[in-house]
Amino acid sequence: MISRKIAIAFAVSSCLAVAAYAQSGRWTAAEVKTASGREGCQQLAVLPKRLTRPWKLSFISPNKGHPFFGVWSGAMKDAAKFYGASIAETDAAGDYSKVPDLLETMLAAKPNFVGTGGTGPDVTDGVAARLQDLKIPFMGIDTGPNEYSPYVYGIPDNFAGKLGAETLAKGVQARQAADWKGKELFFIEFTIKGFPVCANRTGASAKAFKSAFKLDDKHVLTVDVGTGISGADGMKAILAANKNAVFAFIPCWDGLGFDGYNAAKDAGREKDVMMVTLGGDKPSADLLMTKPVGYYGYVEFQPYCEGWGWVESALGILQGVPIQPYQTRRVTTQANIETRYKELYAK
Amino acid sequence: MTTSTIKIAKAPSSRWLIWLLENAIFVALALAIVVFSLASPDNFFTTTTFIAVLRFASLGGILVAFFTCAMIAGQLDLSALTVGALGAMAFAVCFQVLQLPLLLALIIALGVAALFGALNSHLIYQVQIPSLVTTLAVGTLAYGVSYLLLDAFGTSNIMRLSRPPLRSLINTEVLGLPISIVLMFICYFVLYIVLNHTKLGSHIYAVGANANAARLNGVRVSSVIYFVLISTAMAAGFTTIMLGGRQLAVTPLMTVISAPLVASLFAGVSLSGGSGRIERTLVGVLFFAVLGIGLSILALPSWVRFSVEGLAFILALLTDSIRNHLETR
Repeated sequence: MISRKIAIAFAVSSCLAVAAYAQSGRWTAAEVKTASGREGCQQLAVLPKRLTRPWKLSFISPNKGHPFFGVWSGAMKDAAKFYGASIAETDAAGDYSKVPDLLETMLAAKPNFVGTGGTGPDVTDGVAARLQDLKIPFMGIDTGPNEYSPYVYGIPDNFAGKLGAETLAKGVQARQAADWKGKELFFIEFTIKGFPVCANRTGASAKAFKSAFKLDDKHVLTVDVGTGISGADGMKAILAANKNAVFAFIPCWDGLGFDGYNAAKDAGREKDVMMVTLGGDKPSADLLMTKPVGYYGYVEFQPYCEGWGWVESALGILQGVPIQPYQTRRVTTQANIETRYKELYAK
Repeated sequence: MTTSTIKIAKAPSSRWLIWLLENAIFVALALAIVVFSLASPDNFFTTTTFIAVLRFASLGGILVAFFTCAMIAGQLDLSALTVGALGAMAFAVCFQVLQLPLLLALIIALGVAALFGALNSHLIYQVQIPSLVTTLAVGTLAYGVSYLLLDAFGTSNIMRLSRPPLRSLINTEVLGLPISIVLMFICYFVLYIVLNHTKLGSHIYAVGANANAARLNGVRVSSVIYFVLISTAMAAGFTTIMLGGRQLAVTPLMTVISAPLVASLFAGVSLSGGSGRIERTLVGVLFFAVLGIGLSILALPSWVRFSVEGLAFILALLTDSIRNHLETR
């Protein structure tokens, strides 16, 4: 009888010990938050502290010289080091015709997982199809769904677009109570309709803003830079056609919005525009710190966490553990930019 | 007496310098391969990477070969890239939207490109507008027509190109090499023969050196101009279609030549026309492809890569300029 009790106690304690070991053998959300430094990224996959294999990841950067994509690059290296995986990176440096060939060079290292990002289907489809043939998993960042890969990763476009519109609405309402009182209001969507990511993002913004201000279709305009017109030219044309109106706008990415904003400034109509951008990398923060009259703020995509999360998700897929979608809910406006700037960029 | 002594003394060193400048591109290619192999032995010095370099060089290289012919004939074709994109857009309409057979779609697309090449030639030869201005205008027109096709048949910015027969063709291998590489070497071989061993070739050089003198010597200048510009336009269309086939989509902004690859032209031909060697253009293409892929593999900071590429471009121009100066002195 006693020996039976001892046996049961031994079995229970063994189970507890195994459970405790298993628990300590995985990275916790708090540990990930600490490891990802001042960004404090949210954990997307609960990975073991010892990976089953020394996984090799490969990433083709669209352009490391771009501030947003450059941050991805650093974050990916940090995350790979943290988890004990390796990451090889090449840089297309904005020359997307080179991407298929860069992919071939990366294949020499026999990667377990490949990604690229920030480009449209004209770049990613070819890469994903080639990798599907080779049975190597592919996951783009902010490239949208792809028929050659089951994995989708990046900014939740509809959510980000809607959040941008809600943020912009606050700014516009404040202006309508002051210098925009009684003025005809237009919403402008700066986008590339041919890229699903952009179409979803700014489409959601237009829908939400239109509903919030009860605008008719004539007061919702689109500048589609995929049709050969530049953001600046599109803005100038709209300003010229509507001399007494005011404009709220959201671009698919920060730089596209700055084109439109600068065009309005050049035309002496800075006071007639208000924008919220989507992205929020350092140049956006720098500009917002100067508090321009028509730049209300941005939805921050947190490129560091996006890059970190790509590594985490890729390893999650390779390890066979569940992964969570990337989320970003952070909004930075003129009201909180000083605090946020100190958090991210203070030396 | 003193002057002639100086001339006699300078001649061997000038010849040596000309020889060095003529072969600088070969030295640069060898040096680039050695440097990247040492910097990244695991990633760069592999068969896969060398094939990737050749493949990267191939499409741009084919177009640059025809560009070289046009430049030897004294024609600078600034419309080639937009005409190429237009050819690819026309192909996408025929092949993907209208579901025409691959060969028929290809013929129509190359026909569209050829039409723009003929328009260039007509304006240059018949209306006597310099090629620099003509091709700039025709290129802009081609850009407009591309967007017209996009408006009519595609979505903004992009036309998908995913029908299987094209992809199979693009992925075809000949003797273990991707078809685009084989086509590039065939193009250079054929154009080498044309330029160096045929009457047409000597006429191309003659027109480039002095079109009026060539005309007085019985050369049909118009035929030469039509030949070089139509063939350049068709090569641009064909290579852009090949690129679209790899990327499974085409856009009006699509281009097979990156800025550094343009520099390879100056390895083989001078801006003044009438002289040049196509085999050196090929080495130039390979050098800039090695540079492009090598710098990408090293993933160096952008300022390094753009500075290196820019310096290589300037050196190519300087080499051409100094060589011309020494040769004409």
